[in-house]
Amino acid sequence: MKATNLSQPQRRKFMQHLVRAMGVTSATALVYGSNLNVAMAYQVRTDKLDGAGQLFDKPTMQTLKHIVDTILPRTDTPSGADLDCHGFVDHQLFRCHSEKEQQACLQIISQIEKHAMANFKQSFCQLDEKQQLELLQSIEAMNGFTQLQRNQFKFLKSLIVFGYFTSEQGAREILRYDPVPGGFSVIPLKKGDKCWGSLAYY
Amino acid sequence: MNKDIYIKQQNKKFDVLVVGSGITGGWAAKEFCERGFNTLMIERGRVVEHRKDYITEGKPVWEYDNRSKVDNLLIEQQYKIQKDCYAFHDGTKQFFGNDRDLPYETTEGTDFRWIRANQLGGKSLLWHRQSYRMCEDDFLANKRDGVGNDWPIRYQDIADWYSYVETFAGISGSKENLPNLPDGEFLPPFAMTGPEKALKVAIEKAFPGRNLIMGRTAHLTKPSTLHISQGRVQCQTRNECQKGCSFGAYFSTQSSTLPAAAKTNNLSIAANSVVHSVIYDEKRNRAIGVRVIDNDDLSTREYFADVVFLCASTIGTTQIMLNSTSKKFPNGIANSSGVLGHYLMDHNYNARATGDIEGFEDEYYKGRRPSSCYMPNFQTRPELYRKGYLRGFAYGISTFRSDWRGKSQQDGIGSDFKQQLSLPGKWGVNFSAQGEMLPHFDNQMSLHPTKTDKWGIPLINFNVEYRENEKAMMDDAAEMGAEMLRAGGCTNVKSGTSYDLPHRAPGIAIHEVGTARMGRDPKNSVLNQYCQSHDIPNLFVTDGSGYCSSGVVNPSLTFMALTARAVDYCAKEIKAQRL
Repeated sequence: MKATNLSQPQRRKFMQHLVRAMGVTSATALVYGSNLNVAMAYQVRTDKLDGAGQLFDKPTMQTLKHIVDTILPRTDTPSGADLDCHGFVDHQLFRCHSEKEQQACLQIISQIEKHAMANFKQSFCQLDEKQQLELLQSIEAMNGFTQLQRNQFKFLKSLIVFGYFTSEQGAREILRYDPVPGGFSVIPLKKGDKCWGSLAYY
Repeated sequence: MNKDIYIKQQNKKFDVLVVGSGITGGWAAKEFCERGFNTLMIERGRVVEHRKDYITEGKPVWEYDNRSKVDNLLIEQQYKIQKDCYAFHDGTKQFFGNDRDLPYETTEGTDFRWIRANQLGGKSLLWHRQSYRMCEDDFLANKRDGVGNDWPIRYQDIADWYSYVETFAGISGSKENLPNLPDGEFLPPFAMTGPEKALKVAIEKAFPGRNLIMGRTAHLTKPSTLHISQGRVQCQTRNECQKGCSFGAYFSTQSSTLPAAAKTNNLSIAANSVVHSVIYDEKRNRAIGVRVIDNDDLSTREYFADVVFLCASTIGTTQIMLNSTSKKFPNGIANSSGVLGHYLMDHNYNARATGDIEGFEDEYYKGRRPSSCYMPNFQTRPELYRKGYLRGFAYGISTFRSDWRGKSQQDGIGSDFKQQLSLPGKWGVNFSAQGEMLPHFDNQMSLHPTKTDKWGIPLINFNVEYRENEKAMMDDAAEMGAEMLRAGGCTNVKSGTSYDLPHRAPGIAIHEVGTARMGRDPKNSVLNQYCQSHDIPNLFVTDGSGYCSSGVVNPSLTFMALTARAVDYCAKEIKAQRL
C-alpha cells in the first residue's frame, strides 16, 4: 500500500493498520519517510499574488507584497512573497483577528505609502530595494514615525513571519521538521543548525 | 470497540451506574467491571473512539484553514469561554463544549471560566497530565489552620491507592525523597536540559528546602507489559496530546481504563445521555437510578441499578445533585447538611516570573517534551508559611530556546534578520505559580431559579472569587519567582500577576473541587471518607466534589486514587449486603 495520495481519514486508518501490523516505531518511520505529507501539501494561492484580498484592495495588497519582500527578501531561501505571506496576512487578519488589529495593519500600510509619496514622490512599490529597506527601518527607529505606528508595524511583521514559518516550505524545508521525534533528548547545536519547525499548533 | 457495548433503552437493572466517563468515571467503571459487576457508564456527550475519532492527529499546521488558529466568528458563536483554555486551538476544538448550548450565569461582580469536555473520555482527553501525590501536610492543612473542615482521611489512607493507580496509568517521574511531595511508582523521568540542571543547582543551594525537579506526568516513557496489554506504546514526544494520541502514550479513559473495563464484558455505555437527576426511593432511602434526557432528540429515559456513582466532574455532579429534589431532600439529594454547592475551589494560576539564561549556546533539544520541571510547594505547614497569607503554591518551570516567534518581535528587516529568524535564540525560562485556593462558604455554585438549558435543566450560577489570601499569595509568588531566577543567574527578569484579568478568572485552572465535601460530621459535610454520601448509603461521589481543601498539586491522580478506593469499599459493602 502506498502512503501517498491519501485523504486525512484514510491516512489515519492507514496509520492504525500499520501500528497494529508492525509496531509503532517502524510504522512511523515508514510513513514519515515517505512522501505522505507532500501529498497533503498546502496549495500556495498563486492566483492571489497580485489580486485583491478579503481585507485588502489590489493596491494595498501590492504594497503589502513589497513590504513582505523587504522584511523577508529572497536569499538562499524563498522570499516572503514567494510563500504567499501577503495572501496569508490578508486571510489570517480577516478570519482570526479583531477589527482593531485589521485596522492597525491597514493604517500602517497606508502610512508607508504616504511616507513614500511624501519623501520620494513614488509609491513604495516603485522605490528601489535600498529605499524600501531604509523606509521600513525608519519605522522601527521611529524616525518620522510614532510609537503607535511602530507598534502597528511590529504586529504586521510578526504576522508575516508567522505566515512564513507555518507554511509547508517554511516549516519543513527552511526549518528542521520532525513530526514524530520518538523521544526527548538534549543534543548539541552546531553553527548554522536551524530551529525546529515541527510544532503542529500555535 | 464492540458495537454491542453501546446501549440506549434498557429495562434490566444494572449492578452499578457510573455517571461520567472522564478520569474518575473511567476508573470507577474499570474497577467495578473487573470485580464482576454489571456496570453502565453514562456519558452526556458523543462517543469518541480511540484512534478513529482523533481527527486532527498528525495534521501539520499548514493544513489547517488558519494555521491552527480558530476562526473569529466560530469563537464568537460557539467558544467564547472555551477559547480561554490554554489547550484550545483548531486541532482540539472538537473536544471542547459548545458555549452556545451550555450557558451559565455568574453573580454580578464575579466571573468564572467553566471549561467543558462533554464526550466519552471527558477531560481525560484534554488534561495536562501532570500527576502528583498530595502530601501528609495537605490533608492536615484545614485542621491546622482552622479554615474549612478537617479531611476525614490522611495520606496513609490513600498511599497504597496512589501506588495502585500509578502502576496502571503509567506515571513518569524521578524519586526525590521529599516530605512535601511523596514519591510514587514511576516510569523513567523525561530528561532535564542543561539550563534546568544549572538552575536546579543554583536555586537549591541558595534556598534550602526548595527543590527543582522533573515534572511527573502520565506518559509512557517506558511502557510496562501492563501498559502494552492495554494497547499502549511509548511516548513519541509530539506534545500534541490534546488532539488524542493513537499511541495511547498518555493516560486517558480511551487509552487505558476503557479497554480494561470493556475486556471484562461487564461494561455497557449509554452515550448522548444527559443525566437530569438521581431517582430516589424515599421508603428504602436508596438511590435507584437516574433520569436521562437524550442529548440529541431530548427524549427521556431512565436507567436503574443497585448503586449510583457520580463521576460527572465537580460542577457536573453537583448540578445533578442539586437538581435531584424530593420531599426528604428539597435542596438536593444527600444535602441534609446544606453545604452542597458551597466551598467551590479551583487552583490559582496567576503569577509568573520570566528571565533569560546566559550561555548554553551549543546545546539544543530534540523532541517536544510533553512535560516541564516542577518546584513543589515548600509552604506546607504553618511554620513554613510566609507572611501575609496562609498556605502555598508550586511552580511549573519550563525552559526553551527562543525561536522566530520571539525574534519576530525584535527590531530587524532584511536578509540578516531573515537568517537570524531561522536559528535558535537565547535560552529563556518561566516560573508559573500554581496556588492553593482556600475553602470559602460563599464561593458557591447554585441552580438558577428560572433559567434552564436546552435539556430543561436549571442553569448554574457561579459566585466565586479569588479573595485576599489568594491574591496576596500570587503577589508573593511573582516576587519570589523573580528572586529565584536572579539567584539562578538569569537576566532580563520580569514578573507579574494576572488574577484581575477576566480571562484568568476562577475556573481557568480547570481544577474545580469541593462542592460536596467529605467530612466526619454529616451535619457539615456531604460525603464520608469513602466518598459515600452520609445520607444515602448507595450514592457515591468520586470526582473532585469531595475535596475539603484544594491542596496545591494537580488533582487528577488523587481523583483516581480516591475512586479506586471508593469502589473497593463499595464492593465490600455490597458483598456484606449493607447497601
